[in-house]
Amino acid sequence: MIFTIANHEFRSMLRDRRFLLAAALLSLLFVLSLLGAYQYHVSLQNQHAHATQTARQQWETQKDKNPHSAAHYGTYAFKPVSPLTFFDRGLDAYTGNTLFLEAHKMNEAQHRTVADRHDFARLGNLTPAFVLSILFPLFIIVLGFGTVAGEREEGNLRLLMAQGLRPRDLFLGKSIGLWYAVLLLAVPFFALGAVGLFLPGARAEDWSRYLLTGLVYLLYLGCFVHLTLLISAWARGRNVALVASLGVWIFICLIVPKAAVNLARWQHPTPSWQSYRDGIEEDLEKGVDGHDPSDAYTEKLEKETLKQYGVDSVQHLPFNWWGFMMQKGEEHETFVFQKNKDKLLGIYDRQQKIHEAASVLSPYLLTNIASQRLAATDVATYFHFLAAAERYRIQLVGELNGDLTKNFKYDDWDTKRGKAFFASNARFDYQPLAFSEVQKNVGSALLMLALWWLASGLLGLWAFRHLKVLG
Amino acid sequence: MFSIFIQQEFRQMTRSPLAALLFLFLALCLGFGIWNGRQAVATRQTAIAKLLDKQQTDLLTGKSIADSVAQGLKKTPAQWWRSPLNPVAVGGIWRGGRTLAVEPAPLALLATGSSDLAGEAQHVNIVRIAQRSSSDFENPVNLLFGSFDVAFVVAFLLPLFVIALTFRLVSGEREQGTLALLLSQPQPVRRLFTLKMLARFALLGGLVLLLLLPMLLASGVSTEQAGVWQFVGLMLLYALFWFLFALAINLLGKNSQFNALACVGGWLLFAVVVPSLANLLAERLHPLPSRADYLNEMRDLEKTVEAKRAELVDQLYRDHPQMPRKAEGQEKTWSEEYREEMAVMDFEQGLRREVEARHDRAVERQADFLQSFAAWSPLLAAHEQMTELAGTSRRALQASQTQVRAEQSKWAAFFREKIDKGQDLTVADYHAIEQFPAQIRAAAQNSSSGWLWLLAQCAVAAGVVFWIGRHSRSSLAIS
Repeated sequence: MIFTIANHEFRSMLRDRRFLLAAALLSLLFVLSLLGAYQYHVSLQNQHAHATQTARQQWETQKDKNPHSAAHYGTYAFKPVSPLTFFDRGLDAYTGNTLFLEAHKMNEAQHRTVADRHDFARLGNLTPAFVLSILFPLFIIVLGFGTVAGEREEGNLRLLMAQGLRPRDLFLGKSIGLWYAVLLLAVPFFALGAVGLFLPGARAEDWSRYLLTGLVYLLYLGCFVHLTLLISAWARGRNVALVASLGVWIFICLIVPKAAVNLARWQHPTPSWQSYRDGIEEDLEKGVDGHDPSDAYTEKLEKETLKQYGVDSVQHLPFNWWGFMMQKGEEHETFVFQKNKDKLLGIYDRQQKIHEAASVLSPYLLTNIASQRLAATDVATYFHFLAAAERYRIQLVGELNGDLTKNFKYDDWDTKRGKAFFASNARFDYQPLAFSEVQKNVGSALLMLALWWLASGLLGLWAFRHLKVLG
Repeated sequence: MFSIFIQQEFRQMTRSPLAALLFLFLALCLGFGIWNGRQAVATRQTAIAKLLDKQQTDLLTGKSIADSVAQGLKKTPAQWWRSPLNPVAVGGIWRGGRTLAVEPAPLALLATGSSDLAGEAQHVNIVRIAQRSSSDFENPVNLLFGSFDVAFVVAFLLPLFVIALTFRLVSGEREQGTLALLLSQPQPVRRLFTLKMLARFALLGGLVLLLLLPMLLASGVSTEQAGVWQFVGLMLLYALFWFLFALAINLLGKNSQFNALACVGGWLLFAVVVPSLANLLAERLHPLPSRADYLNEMRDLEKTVEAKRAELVDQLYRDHPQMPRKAEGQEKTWSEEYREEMAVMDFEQGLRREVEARHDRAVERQADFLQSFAAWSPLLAAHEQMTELAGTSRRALQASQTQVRAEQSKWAAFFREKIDKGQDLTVADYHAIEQFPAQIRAAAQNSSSGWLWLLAQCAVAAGVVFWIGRHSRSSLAIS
């Protein structure tokens, strides 16, 4: 019986011009989004490869200089492009693209793409993820809003129920019928979206990420299938069902995400530029200043070092005191910057908790969180990159200060290092977050989404059990 | 006649639980939007106050040291690069400089625009301008979803309220069996339903005014502020477009379900599809230049500058024969060192500006292209004009950048003179420094392109209503 209803439902949809029109429009937009994504991805990858190569070349061919001056000259690290950016750009445009790595400072990543764009750029970007998360639910609503309300208006519902049809079978039948239509488009969409996995740079584990992304979106679309049926069962007529379904879509996709952001900001405000800076300045003053020998902490370090090596002057140390002091300063500065960065991350985490709490009202938020995480375009991946870049900065500056400490005499600022030395310095080789780590992070969002799917389904079933056959 | 319609519509609305629910929701959305706007402006003002407090404290410390040195109570600090008497240290190359806060415009609470990405201040020094932006530390997720502000409520939600109020304007009459009665009136159909639509428009407009104005007053925005009435006017014009749009769909004579789908389809087209397609085309036709390449290009300039250094220094002393030049190997004072450095930096800044200008031109090409899409979507036209009025549009923020550049030139000129002469700063100089502005205001823009497009779109919608209305008596009767 269930499949009879499902087949009937599906056939009715196929005969409806609304289905053809909506499916054609959605497919067109999806194909356009793929074309846009391809261009964006390829251009970004080329830019990244070119910039990385140029930055390394600049480092290696810099003017001959003292190693610590080279540490001040610094180098750039560029945010890598994840293969699944093709599918979901996530926060890509909202996080800095470049990071300047230099001695004494953990800089903020600079140049968000969105800052170079017109205000309109923030009103919508046609990406495959956008089509699936914003437009596809509308397709489901357009197909399904009259599923029960229409049957009731036409008097068919009374006939169906009078024949002894169980509400559960009706719900499952209608739901499966709607799923046929959803899968008819969603499956080819996912197949086409996999193009990104054949582009250079894609790894075997990206297939697992993509398959999991597919599961996330299917659960999400499933929530809308249930909600549409629930509203259609509850509403007196088609008009009310349509308006109410659209209202729910607006609430889930537009209102809750924005409201969650405002609540999160209000509850856990991010620090102002000056507060953040003051925190760092204050902490920096509590440790060795690598450039100021008269600083109290540096004087203390000097006394301790002299005592440890049993000499009376820094000139008699078995290493270059300046290099040693700068490295100690660097270690303190790194500790301070990391401490403040961790505080900031703590704030983000608390904000994220509010976003996740708001997802009780919006599966869109959950889908967004999971999809971005799997596409490696989320905050966690971005911070993973920043942390890797910071480790590299410490390594590079350590190498340079180490050379100054071990191979230079005290007060020798004239000896310079050249191309051969700079070419031997460590390279930045970013290894993205392992899939096992991503799985752990996605797990909770996926579980919540599954609960949403289940709860909306149970509610739908409940609404069908209490169905009013007359309007 | 119109007053009868108003009374009838008012009675209908007061008796409709759906209308009451919609109005309540609209009131909540507007209230939440204003509250969020107030929070954002207050946060920005606090951030500015912190910046300026720190600047004032540093300034007073410097002034006090200058005074003590002048009175012989203290010696000039030994490390000149940290000395509050040194023009290089205070005017700023590596440290020092002046913070110019960009104070939010009076209506900034109504539209966030690009203000959450822009800095609350600019820091100028002798050679460059840098942003002081709390958005550097903002959670990117917050930036992605954007703020729930009044502009969002007006641009995205208000049309949906209008649609919910009007999609059954004609079809509802038919479905209730009252259409035949209406058509039998000695009035043209177009006039009848236009009056009905205008009555609903007047009621919604009046209600929005009743809600918004007290909220604005409570938020400290005076109604004497010119922009307030422009904002209200814009909102009403935008609502009028959607009423006309819904009326045109209604006059096609289809059922309520079709009307609702068509109206929402229109909303989707203007609110989602046009902006998305505009972005897609902008990326394709006017791609943004690579920022990574821009940075590498900037870095390559350093080699050009280094190669030219000797020549630039020679030129400096040829142009200023009064400046004594030390022989190679002789120790230089900070002034001698930095006036040479400045000559090199001037050249470097010139090259940097060329790269920047090239980059900015490409960025502007894309922005202009995107802006032209306001012609194709009333939502974009209204959004653009709202952010202009709030002083938070890209253009408004760029206008403040022009003021900052002018102030940077004055600041640099003041300190360059001191550096060239090798003079320490005095208490009198500190008085002069205090006269430099510490704040500029993000100005609302007088651009009227959003208005013009919206007016044109309303005119087109009215024309369509007129055209359909001329043929609608028969289509309504037939259906």
